[in-house]
Amino acid sequence: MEGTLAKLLLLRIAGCKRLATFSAAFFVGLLTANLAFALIVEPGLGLDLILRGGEKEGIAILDQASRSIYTSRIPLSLALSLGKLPNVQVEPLVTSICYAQGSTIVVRGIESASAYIKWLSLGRLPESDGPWIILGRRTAERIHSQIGQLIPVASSLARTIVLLTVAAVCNFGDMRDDEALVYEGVARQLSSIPQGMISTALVQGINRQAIEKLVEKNYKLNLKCASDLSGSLVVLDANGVPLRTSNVVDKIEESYELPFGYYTIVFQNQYLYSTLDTILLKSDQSVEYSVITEQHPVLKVSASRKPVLFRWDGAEVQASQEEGLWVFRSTPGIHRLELDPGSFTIPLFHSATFDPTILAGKAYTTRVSVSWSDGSPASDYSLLVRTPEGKVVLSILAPQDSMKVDLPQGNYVMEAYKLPYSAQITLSVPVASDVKLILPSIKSNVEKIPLQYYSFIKAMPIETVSAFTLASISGISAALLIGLAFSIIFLFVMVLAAVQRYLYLSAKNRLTVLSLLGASNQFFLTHIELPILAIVLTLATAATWISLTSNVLLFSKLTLFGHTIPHDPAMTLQFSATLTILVWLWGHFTLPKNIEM
Amino acid sequence: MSDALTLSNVNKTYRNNSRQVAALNNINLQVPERNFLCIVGPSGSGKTTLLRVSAGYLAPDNGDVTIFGQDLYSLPISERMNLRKNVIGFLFQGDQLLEDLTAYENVELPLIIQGMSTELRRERVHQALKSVGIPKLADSRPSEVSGGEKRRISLARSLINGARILFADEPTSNLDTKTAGMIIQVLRNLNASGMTIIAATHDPLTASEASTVVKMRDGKIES
Repeated sequence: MEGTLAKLLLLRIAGCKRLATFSAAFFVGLLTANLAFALIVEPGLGLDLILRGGEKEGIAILDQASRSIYTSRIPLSLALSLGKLPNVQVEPLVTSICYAQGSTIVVRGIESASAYIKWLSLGRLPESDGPWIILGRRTAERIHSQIGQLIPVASSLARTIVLLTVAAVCNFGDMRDDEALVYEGVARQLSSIPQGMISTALVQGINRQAIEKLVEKNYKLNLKCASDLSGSLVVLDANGVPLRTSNVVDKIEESYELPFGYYTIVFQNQYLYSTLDTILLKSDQSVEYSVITEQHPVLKVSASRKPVLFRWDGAEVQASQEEGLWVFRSTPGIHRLELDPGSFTIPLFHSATFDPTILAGKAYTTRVSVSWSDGSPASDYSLLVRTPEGKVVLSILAPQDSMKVDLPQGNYVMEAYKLPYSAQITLSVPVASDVKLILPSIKSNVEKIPLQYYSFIKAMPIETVSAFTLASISGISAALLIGLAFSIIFLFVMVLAAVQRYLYLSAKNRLTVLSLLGASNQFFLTHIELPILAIVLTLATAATWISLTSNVLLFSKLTLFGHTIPHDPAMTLQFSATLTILVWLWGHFTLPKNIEM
Repeated sequence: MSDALTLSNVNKTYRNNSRQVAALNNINLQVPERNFLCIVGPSGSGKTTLLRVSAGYLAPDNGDVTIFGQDLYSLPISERMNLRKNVIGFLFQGDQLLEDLTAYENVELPLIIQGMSTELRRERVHQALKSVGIPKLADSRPSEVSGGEKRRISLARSLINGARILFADEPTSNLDTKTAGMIIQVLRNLNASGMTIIAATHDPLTASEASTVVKMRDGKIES
């Protein structure tokens, strides 16, 4: 026995039974604290990250009435316009919560999969659009799918089921591991978001106030245009959708009220589609176009054989070849273009591109009517005609439900826009002489939000998005969650401090004797308190290990908004160590009170 | 012969809620080296307070306490603690032994607190147990020995640091006459070997063995 007292002073002073009781109670307290932390704080933090789409900084733009980025709808043109501001980066996002193989998954729309090659872990990235799906690593594990497997992906929002082939699995190492990527068109189908709209835009390089100031009111755009030729002056939004149109005969003066945006001013008639200007409208602006005054308009012609261009006075304009196009530099006026399909009158008053493959041959009249799905006639919609390759042939803002358009022979995609709705049809001219476009009525409005609110947007820092969503969904404020988390931590500090106090109080007389025999604070620290710290830290490590193991089992089976709960072992360990050290420090500072002199 | 202990104008008042009790009232006392002083008086007269103030456990409200020429309460705390560890022995009322420890370990505790090596401790502990006449009880626990033997263990622990002055608070309380006599004999032997002893007691037998007796009442020294 001689010589052991100094080495085992804590054990001999406190006694084996007391120390064992203390250790057991402290361990149970720590384990409970860790589990409570894991069950409340970690899912809370995980929820926060999920609700902000995994983004850590920037501004999220949502529509005023939406509750989360997963249910928001904003115009794509707004996102594109913001991207035109200097030093501003914008990421448009089309996203939706869906169901696949019995699990909830979040799908994001992407335009092209090729950029994801660096994260590819299994399968092959699709090279074109189509019914494919790329799964994040954890999503693939959750829904037990294999490469090449055809899986039904259901969306309650759009009331639709889409069959998608698993093309690849990517390992992102972030929130996207819990998501799935699909072609943008598929994402729109699943989220019931029409063309021209997106879920949200994540913006960097500009603050919330600046965005809100930009969108809080409309701006006046005064257009003056003088022309010798008849045609239309069209204002297109950043997405290429015509918003306003005015007929130009000789000269016009128009004043439009438009929201903040990036606009393209186009002059067009049956044979010409010419971009006059682009404007980033963020204040009242007046612009004037004198299309006949351009000194040297350039006409570019796409043709295999050299075309011949004559001025109004009969003089031939010399052609040069640049980048596969025949280029004519002339003076403003009516020109006649001779090329293989025939002869065309070209009003050349501004630089323009002429594509004879579109205009070759005779133009045929096609009657177009646009109505809502309930049969009521549509009005004030935009009509866009593109070639299958995407070249715009015609864009018109139509005041009535029916109209006639002249198109040369060929295949076209005709689109009608009445935001947020759109309809499109593929037609073949002259086969199709009557075309009917039906704009969809509301498929579902699960949020029960009046649609007029969709035109409003709100911008908020990404860190507040989750708090907003949480408050919208459940009425729980983020402050309440934070308060709850702190209450739990405080409660367990108190519980563990009480357990530690039991040890000191039960050994009070013995500690007092040590003090009477001359034990200093330093002696108590090195012989009593530091051994206790070693014991409680060992207990904390064991409790953390057990709670981490149980958390892994628990959280792998739970999902929040289609995401598994992010689980950070370092955070649990940090919590456990902080709690233990706080309690120990409490004991350290209250120990002198437990010793009676 | 110089003084082992000097108290000059020492006062100590306890405050209990709104009530104030003067435990020591203007105490002046000089104890020469190698003296065996007994402080007698009824309960509550201030005997224990006087011992605790004199031994450096309890600071007085005012006045000076000098031990072997060093003003105890003007010393920094660390030096006062060193003086307590190395020069002063204190025999507590009620023994204050740790029941789970053996006699050897109880006596060893002050040396562990001092940070002494194991070998040196072993030698000193056995010597201390021998000096109080219980060398064979080293491995016994307090619960296994008699009251007198407990007191001797406690005494051995008080002396283990090589004290030059011993403060003994009721050294013979709760002991039968024979055992009390044995403890007094030990104290006499220690005093004979050069140690200054200051004991607070109710016991007339202890007082009769002292070379000087001081009577206390209501915090004052009567004679």
